[in-house]
Amino acid sequence: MEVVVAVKQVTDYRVKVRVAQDNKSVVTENLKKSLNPFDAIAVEAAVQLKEQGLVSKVTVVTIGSVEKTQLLLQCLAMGACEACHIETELELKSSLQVAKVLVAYVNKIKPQLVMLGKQAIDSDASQAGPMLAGLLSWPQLTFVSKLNITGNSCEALREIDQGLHAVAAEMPAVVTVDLRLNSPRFPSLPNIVAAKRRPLTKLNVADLCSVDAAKTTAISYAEPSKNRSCEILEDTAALVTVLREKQGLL
Amino acid sequence: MNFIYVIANQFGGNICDNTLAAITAASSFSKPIKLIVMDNVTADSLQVMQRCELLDEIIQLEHPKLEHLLPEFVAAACSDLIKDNAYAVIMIANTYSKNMLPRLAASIDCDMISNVNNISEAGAVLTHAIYAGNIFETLQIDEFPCAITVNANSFPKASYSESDKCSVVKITDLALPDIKVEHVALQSSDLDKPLLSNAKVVIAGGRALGSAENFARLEDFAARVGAAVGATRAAVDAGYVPNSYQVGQTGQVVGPDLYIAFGISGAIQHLTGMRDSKVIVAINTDPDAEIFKVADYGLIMDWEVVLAALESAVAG
Repeated sequence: MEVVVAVKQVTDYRVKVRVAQDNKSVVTENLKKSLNPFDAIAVEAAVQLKEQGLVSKVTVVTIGSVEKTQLLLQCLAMGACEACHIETELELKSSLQVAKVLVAYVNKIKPQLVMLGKQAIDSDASQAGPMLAGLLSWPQLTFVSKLNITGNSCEALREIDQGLHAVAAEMPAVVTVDLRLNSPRFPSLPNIVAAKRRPLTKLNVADLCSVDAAKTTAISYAEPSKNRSCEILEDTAALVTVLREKQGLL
Repeated sequence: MNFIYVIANQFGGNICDNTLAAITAASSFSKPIKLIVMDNVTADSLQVMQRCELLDEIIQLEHPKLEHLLPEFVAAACSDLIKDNAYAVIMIANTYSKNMLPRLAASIDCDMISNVNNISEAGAVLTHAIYAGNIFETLQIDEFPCAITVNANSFPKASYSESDKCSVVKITDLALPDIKVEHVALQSSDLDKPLLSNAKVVIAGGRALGSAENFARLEDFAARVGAAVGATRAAVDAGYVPNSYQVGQTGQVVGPDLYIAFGISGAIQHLTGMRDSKVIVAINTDPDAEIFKVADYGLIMDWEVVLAALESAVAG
């Protein structure tokens, strides 16, 4: 059984992004870039399935115009078998564009399982996984914090607002992973060296599919409005007064 | 392509109150609004919605496969209904819509905009949070239909009238796909407690609380004042409380009248989930903690001392 893991390069979560002076863009040039933290969990999960002998091959794929070699080498060093960079001159702003390219790639590779992070920490959209599953007419197991694969079926615990939702599906399926599924490994030096010998291929998006234009245009960007002025209270009695008299609590 | 569809946020047979915020958001488009409800909601719940002034019609989709709201079937059922008629389809942003709506959007070939907090120009211009709430992006929709999730706290709830305003149309002859997926079980938090997304008061704790026992103490206090309990990612990761308590970028976004933060430092990923609260009280020993920048009242003190004082204030 083969697994494809779709990954995205994002501005590192420790870096504070800012709006450009003209409010027309977000400044991301020259900021530290990283593997989307949720996608790292997806890579780790796929590699663990391979180590358990449940999966024969893990292929990592990413899409975009800029150089992705470092990103993909990191995934290979974590234990992925192959990596592919789907090159495109276009900036794929909408998740639907991304999902359609992934559909074309999945139809070419024919994996039994596609794994992704539940969201990317730049757009926070949480769209690519369910869109991909929908376009393929596959089952989708999203926000997964526990995954069991037996034969042709996978059973998952999903983190939802009301608690935990257990679902089961037959593969092929799409799985999007949540924070508590695992802790991604730091690649060891021998694995970093070994990664350089693994296949890292490039595909042009035009060889897979045509890409429709996005259906929205960004007009402007802004940072959140000013912070509140915090009144520092002297003691707990002052807090009790505030809560009781101004908030009607207690 | 002339209707705005709102898909009800429903759980346990009830249409959740915050669906009314999605209906208000839908009214920004100045087009007739239809509410889509899945299968097994109570008659009471439907009757209340019939009095909602902004609704044109309620459509109830009935099929055995819709019982557990699995996205494979909900998206398919809605897709057939709306594909030639929708100008926009709107839901409250939560794990139900994040799971289902992208699938529906893809099936009708439309783009989706998540976490919208403002709609203007009759729906042609939308603003939403990205980068964990560090940035707000304003977009123009060039091609309709579009799919949207809105933050429940960003739109007022649509009001009810005295009498019925719209009828309920039932659709039962749905042809749903044969996708091999099944609901196994729901391990739900205690349903008697106020829902985090709905509570007027949220009392939240961070990793500083140090144990599940201390969170239980926070819960006892919250129960006495009718509040829901929230937590930071760090507290959930530490196993002090279940995932359903998590407030923030990767958890729930809340906007209660009052948010009391015990021992929370205020990582941006947490702030984005609660900064829209009307009044924020922060309790932390570190005077430089980020949480104080979004708070209205602060107390630089150990959380345990403060909780003890509030406990005795309630008891007294």
